[in-house]
Amino acid sequence: MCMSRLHRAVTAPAGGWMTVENAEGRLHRVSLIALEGPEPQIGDWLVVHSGYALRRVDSEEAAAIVSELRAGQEALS
Amino acid sequence: MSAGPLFARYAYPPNALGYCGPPDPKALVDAGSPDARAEDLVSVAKRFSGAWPYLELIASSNAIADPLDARVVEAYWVGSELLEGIPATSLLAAIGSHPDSGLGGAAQLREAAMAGGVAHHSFHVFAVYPWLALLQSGKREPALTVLERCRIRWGRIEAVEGENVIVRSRPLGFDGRDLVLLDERSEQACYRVDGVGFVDDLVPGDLVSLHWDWVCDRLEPGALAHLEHFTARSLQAVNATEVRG
Repeated sequence: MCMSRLHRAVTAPAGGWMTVENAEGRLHRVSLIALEGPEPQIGDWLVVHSGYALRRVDSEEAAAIVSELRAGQEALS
Repeated sequence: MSAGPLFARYAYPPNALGYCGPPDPKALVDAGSPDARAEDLVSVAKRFSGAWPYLELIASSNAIADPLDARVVEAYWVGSELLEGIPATSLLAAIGSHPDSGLGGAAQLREAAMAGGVAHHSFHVFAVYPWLALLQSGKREPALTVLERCRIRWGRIEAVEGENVIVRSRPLGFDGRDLVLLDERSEQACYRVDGVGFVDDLVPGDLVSLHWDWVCDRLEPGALAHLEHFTARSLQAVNATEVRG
């Protein structure tokens, strides 16, 4: 029932792992094993699912997703 | 069983891992206790943004007012006749209504829904998650592990060892094209950690359901039949889609 979620990288990668922050400010340690391309850097936006970073999202797409999520959360509340 | 404990026992394992739901797993345990207020359970259950649209869909499709009616909750996690007759278009609309739904990149979702997809947790795992597409594109791990741990599986207890059990169950496999259930093997799961648990007095021979590393419930033969049936149906639906990997 989990969904892919947008997170922002808050630490540098170390040993295939990094810490990310979700829209609520909650920190998670995620694996980078499923992510293709160069290692993400602090501040990068990532789509995360079940503890794994899956892909990068540019800041423009991230802003649009955050806006949609807020609207969705308001609709649910 | 009432809806609260039923919802909590299946939602707790990924919540405790931090994958979905409210930040504090205790909120779910409290809201899922038999004497909790109904509004607290609703508030917590809505935070499980992947599950909630299915609960609403199952309820509305069966003229049940409350998405947290125990019959609805059981249908989503385990399966029941309530899932029959829900049109694929309604299923797609419910899934697409969530603002996160586009992030998964599940290109085969529409095809799978039309090929017999149901509003069951197994369909969400196999068709909505991005992992099947990753598996088909050659990323065997961690894709197969996530698909296996996140579906609700079933098994028979072989041994009880402290707060863990050894269970005989059929793991998910991938034959290069399709998701399949493999022959039985033994796996370890827990039924209680730090005072939190959902099933007591387990003994060898008990049939149980599992989610991630946890034993969620004992399964009566009817519930087992439903779980097997709707898991098979979801596998059939996703295996009928064109591979794009």
